[in-house]
Amino acid sequence: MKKILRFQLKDLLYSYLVYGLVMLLLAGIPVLICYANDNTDITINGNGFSGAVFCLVIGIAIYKEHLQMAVQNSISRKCFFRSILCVMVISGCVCSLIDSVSLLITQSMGMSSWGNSSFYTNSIWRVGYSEFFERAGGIASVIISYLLSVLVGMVLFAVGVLVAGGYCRVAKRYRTVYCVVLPIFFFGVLPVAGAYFHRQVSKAAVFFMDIMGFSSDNPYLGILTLSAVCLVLTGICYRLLRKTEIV
Amino acid sequence: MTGIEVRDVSKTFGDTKALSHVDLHFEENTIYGLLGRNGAGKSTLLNIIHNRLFPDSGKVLMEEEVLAENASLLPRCFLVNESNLYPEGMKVKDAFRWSRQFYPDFDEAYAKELCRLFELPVKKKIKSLSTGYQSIFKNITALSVNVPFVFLDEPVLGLDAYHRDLFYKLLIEKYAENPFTAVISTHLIEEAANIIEQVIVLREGQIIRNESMESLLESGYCISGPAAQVDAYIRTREVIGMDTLGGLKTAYVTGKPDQKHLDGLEVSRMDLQRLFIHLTDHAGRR
Repeated sequence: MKKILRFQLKDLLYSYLVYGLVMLLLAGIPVLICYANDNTDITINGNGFSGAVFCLVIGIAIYKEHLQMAVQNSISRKCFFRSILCVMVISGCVCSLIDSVSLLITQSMGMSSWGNSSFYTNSIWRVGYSEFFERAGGIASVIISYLLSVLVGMVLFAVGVLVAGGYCRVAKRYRTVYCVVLPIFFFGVLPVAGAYFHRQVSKAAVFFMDIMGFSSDNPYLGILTLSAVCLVLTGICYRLLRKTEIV
Repeated sequence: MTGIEVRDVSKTFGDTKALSHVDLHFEENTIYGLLGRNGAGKSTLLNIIHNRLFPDSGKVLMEEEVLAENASLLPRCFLVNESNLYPEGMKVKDAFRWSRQFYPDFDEAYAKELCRLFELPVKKKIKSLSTGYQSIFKNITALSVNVPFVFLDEPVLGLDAYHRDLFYKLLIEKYAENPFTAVISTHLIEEAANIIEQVIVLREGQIIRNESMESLLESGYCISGPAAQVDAYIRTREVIGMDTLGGLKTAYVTGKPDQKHLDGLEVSRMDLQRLFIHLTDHAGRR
């Protein structure tokens, strides 16, 4: 397992570095805006989700190529799956760390004086669990935020692997259909259906807020839910991978 | 039991039966020729052995253990076929470096030496190589990997005559120096015939012959001489092929030569390709 994990991490190293660099550059944007404009007040809420999206992209992008490399080099699917799990955790941790650092940089710069301008940034978790984070100390807030970001990253990584795993399992002649139908379904059909069945959607949204602990201001519930979702998704990923044939 | 045992393996793709109840045993340190027409099931069989495809029924065993998904036994096998499973942007030298990571006995120095012999540019990306050079890259990896079982599915695909000859020479050299089991699936039978010890012939997903090259070739013979004499000789015999050049004729006959009627005729060893055509076509439809 170590061999394929080493290969995967080495392959992803540049991606992590590029992502980190981009995030650091983006962290400086509010400063530039405040510096260039007078009397500007910027508030950015909901930061810290880009790492999760990056994890989704990684999950989709690496799966097929790395599985093929593993199969070519006589690595069993079981070993490859274990390696993918490690990559999932590592990607979640690295991307969340980059997000946290970039957020901290932006926040600390926001505390400085910029003439008549000011800016304030907030993570998605501080918005969702506002009262909890007000009550909790600084370190506890950082740890909980970080843990939540890691878990969301892992969940989206698993979603990415699921999408790519589904692609690998689909018969070759249906792969184009799969690639076309999937985005149309998620970004076309679902939103339209959501508008049509708005009552059901709001019920689902309330349910989501409940299980994520947003309604009760309880991030631990969110951690529990995300962990469970992650477990279920990785279980499905393994079932897909177990019988994936590579020719 | 040593070696690899294929036990009652069947595989279907849609309504096509690729393999039907195949039973085989690959001994250690033997060179096998896996022969069969297009679609006979050769590649499917090799892919199943190397854990790339899953059989519908049956299993592949090594040391009485199922080989599929066996992390400790799988690294003893290596398969090269026409599909390139290396990453899009990987260079030849990087592939060798990683091969050393995956296969501890991979001889990187030997691989580089072979690259020099074949004039394979190591700094190029694998996917940007021509079909022939991609085959060369895979063959070099297979020769340098130093595992007990190497499966070569169409190893000379796209190779010119010089490189084909060089590859077979190197394979023999490697085999003589450090014996291993090589299973070669090829359509260029005549070229591989000199190195194959054991022949397996597949037809429509079934093994129709599995015997030593020697005994297979002894199942027939070539008779040549003046056309009229050859015609007279073969009148009452089963002929599987014939070549005519001017007044001379060569007939490929099954069975043992009849010494009484050989006056003026020359008897030689059966031609494997002729026998293969006969086995996979004529005999198959009888």
